[in-house]
Amino acid sequence: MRFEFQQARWDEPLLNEKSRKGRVGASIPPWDDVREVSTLLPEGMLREELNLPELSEPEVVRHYVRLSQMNFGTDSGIYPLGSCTMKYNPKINDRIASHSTLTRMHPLQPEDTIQGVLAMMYELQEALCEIGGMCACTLQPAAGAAGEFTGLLIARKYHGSRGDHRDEIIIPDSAHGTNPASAVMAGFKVIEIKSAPDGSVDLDALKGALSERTAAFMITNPSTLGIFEKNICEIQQACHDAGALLYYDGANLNALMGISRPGDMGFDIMHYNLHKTFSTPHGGGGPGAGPVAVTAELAKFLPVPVVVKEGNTYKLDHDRPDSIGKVKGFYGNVGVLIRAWAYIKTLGAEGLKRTSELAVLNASYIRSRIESVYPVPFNAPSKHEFVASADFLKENGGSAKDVAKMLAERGLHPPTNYFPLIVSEALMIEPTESETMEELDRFCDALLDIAKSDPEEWKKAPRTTTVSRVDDITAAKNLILNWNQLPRE
Amino acid sequence: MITHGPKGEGRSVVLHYLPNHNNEKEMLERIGIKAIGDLFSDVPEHLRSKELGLPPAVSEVELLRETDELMGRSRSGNDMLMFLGGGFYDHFIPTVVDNVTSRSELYTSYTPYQPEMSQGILQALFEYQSLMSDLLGIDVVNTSMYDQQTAIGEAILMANRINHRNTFLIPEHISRDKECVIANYILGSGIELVKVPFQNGVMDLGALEGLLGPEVSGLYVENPNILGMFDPGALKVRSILDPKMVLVVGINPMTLGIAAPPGSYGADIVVGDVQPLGVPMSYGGPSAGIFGTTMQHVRKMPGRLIGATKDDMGRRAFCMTLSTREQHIRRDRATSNICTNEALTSIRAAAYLASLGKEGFRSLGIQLASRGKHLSERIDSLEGFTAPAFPGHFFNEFPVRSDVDACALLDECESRGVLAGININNDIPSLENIFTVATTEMHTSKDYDKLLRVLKASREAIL
Repeated sequence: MRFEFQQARWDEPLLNEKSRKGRVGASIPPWDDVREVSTLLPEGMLREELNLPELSEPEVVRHYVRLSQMNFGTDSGIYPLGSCTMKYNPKINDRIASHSTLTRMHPLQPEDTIQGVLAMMYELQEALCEIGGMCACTLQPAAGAAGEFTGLLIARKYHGSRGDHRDEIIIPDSAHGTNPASAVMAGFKVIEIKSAPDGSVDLDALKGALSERTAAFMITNPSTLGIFEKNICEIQQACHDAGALLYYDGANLNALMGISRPGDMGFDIMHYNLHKTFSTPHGGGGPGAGPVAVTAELAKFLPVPVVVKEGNTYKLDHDRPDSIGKVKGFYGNVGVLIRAWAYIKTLGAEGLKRTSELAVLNASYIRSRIESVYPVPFNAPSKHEFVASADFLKENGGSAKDVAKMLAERGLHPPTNYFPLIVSEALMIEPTESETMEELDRFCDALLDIAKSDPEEWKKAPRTTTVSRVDDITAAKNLILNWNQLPRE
Repeated sequence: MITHGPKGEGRSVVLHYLPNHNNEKEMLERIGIKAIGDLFSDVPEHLRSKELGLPPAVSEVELLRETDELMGRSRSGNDMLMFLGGGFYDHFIPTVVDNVTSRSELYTSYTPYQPEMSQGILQALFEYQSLMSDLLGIDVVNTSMYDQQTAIGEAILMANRINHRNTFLIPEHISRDKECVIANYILGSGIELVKVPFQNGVMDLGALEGLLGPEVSGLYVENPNILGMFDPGALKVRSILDPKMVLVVGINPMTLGIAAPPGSYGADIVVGDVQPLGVPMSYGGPSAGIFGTTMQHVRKMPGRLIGATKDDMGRRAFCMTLSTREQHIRRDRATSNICTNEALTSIRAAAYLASLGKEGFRSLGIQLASRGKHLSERIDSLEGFTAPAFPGHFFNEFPVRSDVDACALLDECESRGVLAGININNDIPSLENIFTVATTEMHTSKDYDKLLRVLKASREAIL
């Protein structure tokens, strides 16, 4: 087997293994009045031993350059991880967020010294409300799950303010794992409902689950299967008739910008994943940002403070007696928010709509090329992502995991596997609008090639990545979570 | 760059992020449909959006111009002398830290679900866990929480998972920001918070003993605390608590070059914020919350963990581990709802610690505490000011008592171009006319001279 891809492999030691006594990697400004350290601390609080590695600056740089070469990002190639929207992260956004006025701006500076940044935050709040069809917005939550938690606290407070004690959240079985986890953190009981045979919300199951105890129904639309919820109007009606709120998980908003707005569908609360839909880098797991927007009726419950505009002045409004309080320190991940502001400014209304159209076009293109081999279990048209099944490989001992590893050895990041849980050997594919047709073809060709490949080869993959198949079972059984726990060799 | 049709006022829509814009027809043909609208035929007509009411798209050069204009209407440490702390500090960030965290193979990747092609980020995060574990003196540190505020909330929930007790003790003197976040984190848990009184700027151990009982799940201690003071009681509380109680210690990691690691005085959980370690202030975020615990409790902890293992050729490799605690596996029974975290900021902190190294980090710690001492002595020598306001030791931040209204004083200082400190009265109503002053290695002796002049003149203006 020959591959056109070979990832870098450096036998790069850990920082502590590279350490040599006496080396320093940074210069510290001078200071004359140095005191005796033992006089600076209460009795018994002086540190006895400090184990930090000792490296010079070139060694630190080389270390991280080598690590980066052993990593794959969206800047390396296609990264069609379903529900994660791994789109291109525009470089101008990083430049703006690195502006030295922002990087040295302290969160407790007086409002009159930060008018420009408050203006950006205000404009972002307004733009997100417009895109979502909502009325008011908070930028505070640090990630999508934090947004869900915030939204559910708002639901809790809303019902409580009406003397209505509702303690259940209904969630479809295809939902992201964060949905039930956030519901529990906000003090609710989770009622899971099964999806209908076509992958949509089972309206009868929903109606059966709704009661005077239901605080909210949480869904993504399009669903995690990439399917637009055909019964959204009936769902909305049923929830509101039962006195429940409707929550929109914004993880899949990249399908619908400028096409259809959650607010117009009847959603009461939604969160946005700025690190998905609005192009901010995922950073190997974070930071992200998960703003939450709500209808006019719920606006008073948003966390404090909210950025408001009075005349030509921007203010942080802390005087909101019905607010749920706070969900994160200060005002949110401002460095991330600014990037999303720049992205929306760059694209405008038409550019955002075109983004969603092309995201759906790209996903539909892949689907049309592979579905005769990798069946898509639900027949409905898909949007920005779809879920195919690698179940047919089972008869020869293969799995979705094998497909993932074989894609990796061809230099293509695999799709999400084994999610949603309702599809056997799931491959959840979301290419985003950022990929060229040629890259999509390369991805499809690889998938089709894998399906025809010799089963003898499957478990050998991946052979061209930095390491071959990683033993995650031993990792969990024999925990090594820092370098002091590594066996001496 | 692809542009299409001038729209309205001669403006083009910029589509340089959209490579397939002009391949639409060819792709539609291969899919076998006529128009792109057909891909949305299942969206009911009455739910179709009108054109969004957003400002017109701008080109890159216009965006930079607008950014410069807006940043020009804002001030920062670049053009304003500041002594603000409260958890975020204007420390120097070595250029190398910005440089290595700008490697886009790292920052454009996602959570490393595919370890074979993500060894770089996995090793970098494993190194963060290790560096932080050594610094805190505790076995295991996760790759991050959102910030210190949410980390405290998670710690209180974890204490309850460990001992199933429902009262948790927090300091009377705590920032409103933290208290508000914690209140929301425990809202669904049935845990009740009780406040431990302060005396002379630190926790009152006698009062603490009076609050202990079989229902107490644990205690949160800050060292240094909101006033900037090291709390000597932190060294003793483990022996006061019963063995089942969970001791949570909140730290400023920058102090740990010279201060004893909380693991050494019995912390079960350590929380903090990595911001001082090479992270830009960025008006409050992104930073990352530190969360560490002992191996005994590792299965109860929230957040993502990287473990070392081998590949099938026996070579060292890293992967995410103990995911069965996490929401994508455990769903409503997960230890936390956290998914996206602050991984890249953690790597910043690791690169910072690696750059300063053992000698650099320790000598910077000595310098910062020396600067704090130096500045407090100079302020204390001014008429009408007492610094520190309470007896004891502190790092780079300390409380100052003034004989005039602190709020008016700080406003006067601002009008003279100096942000002299944080009025602690906003957080702790019982403390009047006390503000905290923080200094970093960014300040020069001349900056201190100016602060002194401005404090003196501002006080006189009020009198």
